[in-house]
Amino acid sequence: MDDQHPIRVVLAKVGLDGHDRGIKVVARALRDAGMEVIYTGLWQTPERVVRAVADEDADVLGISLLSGAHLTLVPRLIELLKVEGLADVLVLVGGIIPDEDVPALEAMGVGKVFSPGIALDDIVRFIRERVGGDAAVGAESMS
Amino acid sequence: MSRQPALGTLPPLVERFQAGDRRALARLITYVDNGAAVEPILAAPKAEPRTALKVGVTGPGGAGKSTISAALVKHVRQLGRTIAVLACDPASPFSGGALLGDRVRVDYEPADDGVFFRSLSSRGAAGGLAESAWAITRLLERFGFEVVLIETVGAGQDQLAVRELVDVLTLVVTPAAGDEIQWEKAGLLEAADLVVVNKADLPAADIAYAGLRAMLDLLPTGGLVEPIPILKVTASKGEGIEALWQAIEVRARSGIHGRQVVISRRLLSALQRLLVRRFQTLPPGDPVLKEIADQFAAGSLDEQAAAERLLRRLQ
Repeated sequence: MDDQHPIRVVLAKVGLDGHDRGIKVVARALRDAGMEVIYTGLWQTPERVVRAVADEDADVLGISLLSGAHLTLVPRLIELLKVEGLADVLVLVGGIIPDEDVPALEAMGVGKVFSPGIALDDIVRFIRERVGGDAAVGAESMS
Repeated sequence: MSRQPALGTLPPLVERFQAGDRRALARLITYVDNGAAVEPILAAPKAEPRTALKVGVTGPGGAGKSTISAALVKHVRQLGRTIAVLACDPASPFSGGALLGDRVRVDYEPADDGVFFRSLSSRGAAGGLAESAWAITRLLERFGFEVVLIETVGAGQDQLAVRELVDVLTLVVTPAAGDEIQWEKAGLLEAADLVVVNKADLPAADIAYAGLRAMLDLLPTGGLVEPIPILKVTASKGEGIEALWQAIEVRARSGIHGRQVVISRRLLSALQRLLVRRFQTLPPGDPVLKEIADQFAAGSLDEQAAAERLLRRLQ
């Protein structure tokens, strides 16, 4: 298990909402858990987010969505990630997501949807479990 | 996703890197950041050596380094040159993690292959710069970026590792950090090729400029170095950026680098050590030394004159 090297996480707020306190709390929690957090800021387009994930060679992409546009933005993001050969990146979604939309999001490739009130420890644990262990996946995974 | 190359996977990745594959570049940076050696990658067959103009942007937190770097990126792209940015931030000493937020400031076009931005954690390295920064800079250079901009936090003498890495080092300060003594002690001033006073629209900027100019003019360079330019910039408004870039290019081309400041400081230290050594190895009871000391004690020679006589004796 490759846990000597920090996990790299890109955090982004996609779409038009301007509330960033929640995502900054998550950013600090991940940093305190030893991860390298690349915060890309507010009002990001899917294209800019995917470019950041690619160039930063991130293990995880965490998106915060409060604007209700998740069913349009998330598929676009997942599609772009696939096109860029980044299908292995763990995608996490946080924010205000109605429960009934969660299965659809997970079916399209989101690793987990975190609703408000989730314990930060749970996010950290989830990331470590999913990202920490697969040392067998090497450069061949890049296509 | 693995953060170390699995056996046998590196050569095809290097080939793709040489062919200009951006994903391969990003992945190789990760491997190098995690400790893989860069020399075999650079020495691979069919490798074409390339050089980039390497610019360092350093300064204390809050001075506006990221905003200035972002403005330089925009300007450099407008000039039609390609540019890669390596933005280094300190790791948390407690957890080893890092918050890397410099990317936020750069307004890049996602489809523009002429810009590349990578965030780097210092991972606790002494010198304030990740140990892998040198190797990653080589990768970016080899990939073909014409300019590599390295952004680091620089608040003291122990954060000068970036000096060895770049052709031109720019120190960014704000008027708010106007304490002269702090700058003298910091030692950063002497290592810079250019000093930028950011937030130049603030009233205190002129005072900061005057104070810095006075300090820079006093540096013991023995006439080896042209006066270090100080530029006023308001990065948030894009003012002064074109002049800054021109100054960077002039500095890079002229061959008079901050390295000259380092050289002159080293020469001065060497001279001091030589004089002290010669003084200390004068034979005991040396008649000339005794005469100088007696006259000095009696008041017939002042300190300055005594020193000059001593110097002649030591030659």
